[in-house]
Amino acid sequence: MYRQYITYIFLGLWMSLGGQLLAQQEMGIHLMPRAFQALWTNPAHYMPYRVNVAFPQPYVHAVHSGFKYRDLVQPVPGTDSVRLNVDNALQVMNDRNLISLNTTVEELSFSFRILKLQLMVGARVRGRLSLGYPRDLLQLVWEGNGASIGDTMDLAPTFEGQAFQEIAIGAALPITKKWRVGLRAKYLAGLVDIQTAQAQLDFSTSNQYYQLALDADYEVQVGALDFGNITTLDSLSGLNPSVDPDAFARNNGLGIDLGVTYLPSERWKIQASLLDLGYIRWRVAARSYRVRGTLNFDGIDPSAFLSPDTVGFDPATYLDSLVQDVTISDTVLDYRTSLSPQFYLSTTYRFPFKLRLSVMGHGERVLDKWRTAWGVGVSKDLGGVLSVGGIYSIRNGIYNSLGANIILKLGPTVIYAASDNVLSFLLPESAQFSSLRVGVNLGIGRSKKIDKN
Amino acid sequence: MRYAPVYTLLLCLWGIVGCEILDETTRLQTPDWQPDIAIPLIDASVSIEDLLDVVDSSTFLTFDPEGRVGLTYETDLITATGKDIVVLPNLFIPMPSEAIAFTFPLTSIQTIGLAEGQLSLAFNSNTSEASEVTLNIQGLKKDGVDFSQTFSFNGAGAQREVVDLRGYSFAFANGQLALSYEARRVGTGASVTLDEVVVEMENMDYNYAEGYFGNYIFSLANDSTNISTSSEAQAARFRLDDPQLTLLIDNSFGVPIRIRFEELEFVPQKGEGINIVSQALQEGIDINYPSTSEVGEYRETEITFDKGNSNLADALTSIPRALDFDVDAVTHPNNDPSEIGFVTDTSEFTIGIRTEIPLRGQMSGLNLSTTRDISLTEIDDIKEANMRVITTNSIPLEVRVQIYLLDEQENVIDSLFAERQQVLAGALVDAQGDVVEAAEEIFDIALTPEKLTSVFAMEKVRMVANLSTTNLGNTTVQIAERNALQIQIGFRAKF
Repeated sequence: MYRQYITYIFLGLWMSLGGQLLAQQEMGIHLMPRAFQALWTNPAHYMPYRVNVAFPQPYVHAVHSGFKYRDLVQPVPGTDSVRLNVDNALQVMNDRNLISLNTTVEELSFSFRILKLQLMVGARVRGRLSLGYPRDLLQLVWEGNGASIGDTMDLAPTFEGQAFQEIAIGAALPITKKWRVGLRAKYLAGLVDIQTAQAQLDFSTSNQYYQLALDADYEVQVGALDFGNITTLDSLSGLNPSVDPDAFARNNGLGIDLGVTYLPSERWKIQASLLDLGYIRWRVAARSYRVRGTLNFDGIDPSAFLSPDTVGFDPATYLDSLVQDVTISDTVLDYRTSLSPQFYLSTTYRFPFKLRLSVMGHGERVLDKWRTAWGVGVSKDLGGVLSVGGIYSIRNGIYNSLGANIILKLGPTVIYAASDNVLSFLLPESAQFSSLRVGVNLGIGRSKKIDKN
Repeated sequence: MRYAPVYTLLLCLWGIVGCEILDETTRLQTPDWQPDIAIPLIDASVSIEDLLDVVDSSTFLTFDPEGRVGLTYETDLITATGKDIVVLPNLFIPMPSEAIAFTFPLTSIQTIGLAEGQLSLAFNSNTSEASEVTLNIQGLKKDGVDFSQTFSFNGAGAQREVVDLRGYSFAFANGQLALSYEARRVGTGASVTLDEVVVEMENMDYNYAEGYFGNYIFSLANDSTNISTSSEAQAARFRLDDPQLTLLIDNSFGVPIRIRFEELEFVPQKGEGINIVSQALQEGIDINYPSTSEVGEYRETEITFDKGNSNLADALTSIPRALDFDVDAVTHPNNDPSEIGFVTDTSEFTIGIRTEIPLRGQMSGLNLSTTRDISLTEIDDIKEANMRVITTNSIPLEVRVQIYLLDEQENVIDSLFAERQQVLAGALVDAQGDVVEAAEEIFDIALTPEKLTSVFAMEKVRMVANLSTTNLGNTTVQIAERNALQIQIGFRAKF
């Protein structure tokens, strides 16, 4: 039975290696049962303390899937200088690459257990900004279009930025000796949303005599961020976006988190959770801006401006003629955005001497694709005061992610720090993502039986 | 807590590494940016009208209903006026008796209207009393009435009276004037004898003359008129299918006039021209003229020379530079005194030509060459470049070009092509010479590093072009209004 679970986990791990983009998978915290924040990763998680309070604390997770610092900046042999090796950076890039910043500011959360029912209430502000950019875009800037004659280059960046206030209330309940289930309901208040709903900027250079064409169908949706009317290219200059003060009240939504914990024996713990199922409806300052059309540049007809009837070559007029087939539409919207669903899947085996070994997976849907990561974690409780742990994870073909975490329990105070990639602090030139979470919680009323797991 | 030193150590390491990265950026070498950029430069369509935009006020394009193009040159060669056809002499008419008949020198002229002139009557009187003399001239009229003027004089001696003849006209009977005078004393009416009576008519000019004017030869020009700008262009073979030369003569002289061309010759860009030979030119051209009832009106004469009535097709063997001509004209070429005509002081005739060249024919070996100063600023960054040229030609004309790069002394330092490059392929034509399919030519101008060195070193450039109609000039072609040339040029540079 256990072998089957492990087979499933490694099968999933193998399949995920084909994934090309990274998300903000926070993994280490899931394997830190003494930290209140583990509860956010699985609403069925039972805190080892009867009463828990989480004070305001930040979480930052940054990812760049394109290349590492050292891929771009390389030492010049025989000198103490370095040089930009853009060719190498381009070589190691994927067709599409992601720069992502995920932040969570936990405002105040607490949980308590009455009999076997654990209740939690929490509030936090979550924000994410993901920018997807194609390798072709940098290749065009660096190498020019000469090498892509006859091909179509994808120049469309995609982005997804969203910030919202989350107020959650949840409960975890054992339904049998081995099964615990958890549910969390969340009220969401959207603060700002901006995302590409359609991203097509296909650039091509004809192999005939190098005519250039840009085929555009690019749509940006915004919520609670007022850019005003944009119906011409001229109106793009002098944009002065403002955040609508009514947004907090009216751009709202709901979400739920589901979780389950299975304890087949005293030494095994299996967790699964499905988070962020929900939506936010954007009603305030919600608009769609869409640019559609094809911009063709076939060269200049000299006779058009060498004619004695014309005064001379006017670049502005000429550019206007080029973009005459491009239309810009501006539509007032009332739209919904889904949260980015996540799942956690983990199994933990507790060895003697309070040593735990875990295998886990995480998935998140970002920019319409599931991004998965898989890891193996180990942790050890050094008495009732200190726990340390580490996690090795694989994501996007990156094999050098080594995380570490520590929890210090000083009386009721729980101090913790966790990073899924400590190497990003020690060897930042070789890192493609970094994450850090630090915080202070209160934990009162320890249950040894639960803590053992 | 015993692990705290470990975390502290890791934090310090992180700080050190972070500082190292920041320090690296100060030692960053400028990257070697070597883009390969390709852009389209030119996309131009040129119509046949644009291409033949060599016209001035005299030259223009014509299109027939089927859109076939012709080149027409039209200009006035000569304008001749008839002031000299009739020259009125001064008349000195002594009157030894009171009545005489005087024969007018221009016997064949029947009527002359005077625009200018003075008549004077001179005599000697031997009486001292107040007297009058009346002079009558039959044949000199004003408003249909014969001339009759009475003059008063006092005292003996020489007397002279003057009359303005403006508005008078001669209307001869048998070419003669009848003059008489009569002198009397005012008081008694007694006759007075006058001596040395003379009538003079001087400074006469006419505004109308009618009659037979004889063989008056107009002094016309031996001249040349430019048709196109002189150049070195000279086709080895140039054959127009059916050129036409039309003489257009507008005449307001009311007399028969014959135009005679001693020379009419298109002057080629190089070498000698061939005189146009035609029976009409040899025999002379009798031009139309208005009748005596059509004074002031113009009559047109148009005569066309083509390959059917002249050697024009042989004479027009290149784009002509000029038209040389030597022409004169003569009145009453048949010497028939019964041919009564008229001239006025505004009579004129104009000889114009219209050369119509239907752009249909064959041409080969037309060489053009031009040298221009040009100096390009060296763009160090360009290591290699390529120009892609595409011509889509629906004109039945093919062009080969070589471009020589010259130093200041015009020594050739390089050429753009290894050998003369065909830049325009002639459009395909059917048996009638009409274009049926445009021809496309694609070629690259490879600017290798060595070639770029020459390009940046040149001070002058010489372009040599060789033009011929489709199929190297061996096929008759027709230029049509719909013919056009599309030129597309792209540029690719590696930096």
